[in-house]
Amino acid sequence: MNSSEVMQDFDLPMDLAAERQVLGILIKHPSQVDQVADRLRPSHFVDLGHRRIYEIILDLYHKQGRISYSQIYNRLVAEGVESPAELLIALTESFVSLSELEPCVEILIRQEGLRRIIKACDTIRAMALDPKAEDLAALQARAQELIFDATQAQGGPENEVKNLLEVLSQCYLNLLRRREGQEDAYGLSVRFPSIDGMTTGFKKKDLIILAARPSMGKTALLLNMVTNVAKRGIPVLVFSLEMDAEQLGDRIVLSELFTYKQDGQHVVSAHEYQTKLSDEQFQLTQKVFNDLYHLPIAIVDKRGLTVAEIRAKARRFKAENPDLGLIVIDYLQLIKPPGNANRSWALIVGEMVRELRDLAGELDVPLILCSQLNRGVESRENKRPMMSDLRDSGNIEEFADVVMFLYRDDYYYPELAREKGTEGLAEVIFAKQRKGATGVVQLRFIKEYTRFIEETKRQVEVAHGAR
Amino acid sequence: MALDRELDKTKVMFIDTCRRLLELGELSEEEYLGICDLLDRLDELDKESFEQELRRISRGLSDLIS
Repeated sequence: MNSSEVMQDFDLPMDLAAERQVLGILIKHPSQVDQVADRLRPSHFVDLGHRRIYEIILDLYHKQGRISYSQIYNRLVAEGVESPAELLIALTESFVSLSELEPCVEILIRQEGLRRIIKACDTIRAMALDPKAEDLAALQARAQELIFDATQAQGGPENEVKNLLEVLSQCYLNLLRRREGQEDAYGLSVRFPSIDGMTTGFKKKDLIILAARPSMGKTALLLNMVTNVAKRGIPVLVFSLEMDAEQLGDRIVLSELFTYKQDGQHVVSAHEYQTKLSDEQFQLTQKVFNDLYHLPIAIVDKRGLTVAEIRAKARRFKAENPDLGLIVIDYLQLIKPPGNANRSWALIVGEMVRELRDLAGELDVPLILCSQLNRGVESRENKRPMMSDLRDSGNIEEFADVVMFLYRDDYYYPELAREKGTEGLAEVIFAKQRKGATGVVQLRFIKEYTRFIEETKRQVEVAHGAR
Repeated sequence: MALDRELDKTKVMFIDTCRRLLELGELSEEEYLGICDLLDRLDELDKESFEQELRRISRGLSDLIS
């Protein structure tokens, strides 16, 4: 290696003088390595000789060896570096005082940040000009990823280590806010008291799985929760990989029409909504539309999205809507897997779920991911889903913070349910909850209106009594 | 501070010269490493101790310097 060799071209942001100053100070004052080791990486040095010297310094530091000119000189000789003396003499002459260290470190960090941005832009340009480029959506997603990675703060462990005082201070502030009613419970309430009671609200950064057999009502429950959240002015982003936006819109309207039925007002049935309405029914339905127009719900109904595309759209939405409170995805099995799928399906699914969990963490929101269950449940007498049913669909469970199963008796035994009076009775089975208890809560499913409502205790007793 | 920098510069040049002597066979590997160690401890030694240590490590080099 030529000791003065510099990477790439001279148009890149760099400051060789600052590099020499930093290295000179660290060799002369080895105790200062502590101050920079978690912030400065070898890639912050453009000159390859300087980079190698910094790597040696770090190596000696980690092995608790002595950091000195002779140690570094001998390492450079052993690696065949030309003119190591010339390289090191330049370092001895590079600085005047210790106070130069911090400003020079800041310079190197800044220059490296600029280089990463330039490199990402160069890569994006090459991708866009490639005649064999992927489709535009994939290209845009990839470009977003590159820019995001290039602009991520490269802060080291000094940003990650928190002392207990800092942590408890934040916990205390959160407690005061809840006490004063400034925050809904501990997390995001979905305004189903039984669900909120189990979860104390869905937590930011959490991945929540809502799994069930097809047509059990996952999408209905999901949309009900979305609407309830949005009614409080909290933006929600919906990825619907199965139904298009208009179908979702109709479901939301229908679900709200049930409210008027509950209030004893003139009813608009699902059939009438989908066919022809009387003038009075039309006016009522218009009212529902007017109530719903302003809800901050955004829908992405493009099919065949990959996780990367979901991530890109979610990041962009969050940047435009910093108050984003919830992301939902319906459903996992319709997410397009990555192209190079040479591994088992379970591992591929697991990786997709892990990336979505990371997305929830990055955007600081809860993310509800619907998942279908395979037919394994049907072979059992008790068809209530269990964790093993989720495992059959892939490595999902390990990355989830909450796993909810949806189950209805009347799905499998409609006549029996009718006789017992348990028709429409739905169980939300909390099979896993990292920050709470497991258990079962009950809701009632009004199928015609794709609406879930709370099942009161009294109703449950009546239902049981009717058996 | 300037003196400090000159001293460091001199150390590097000295090590480099000793390295060349090693390559020429004028110094053994053991002597060379001993000298490197001595230079790293230079701040701890006065002139007399330094000369004594150097003589102990390499008589030939000590005579050359004096």
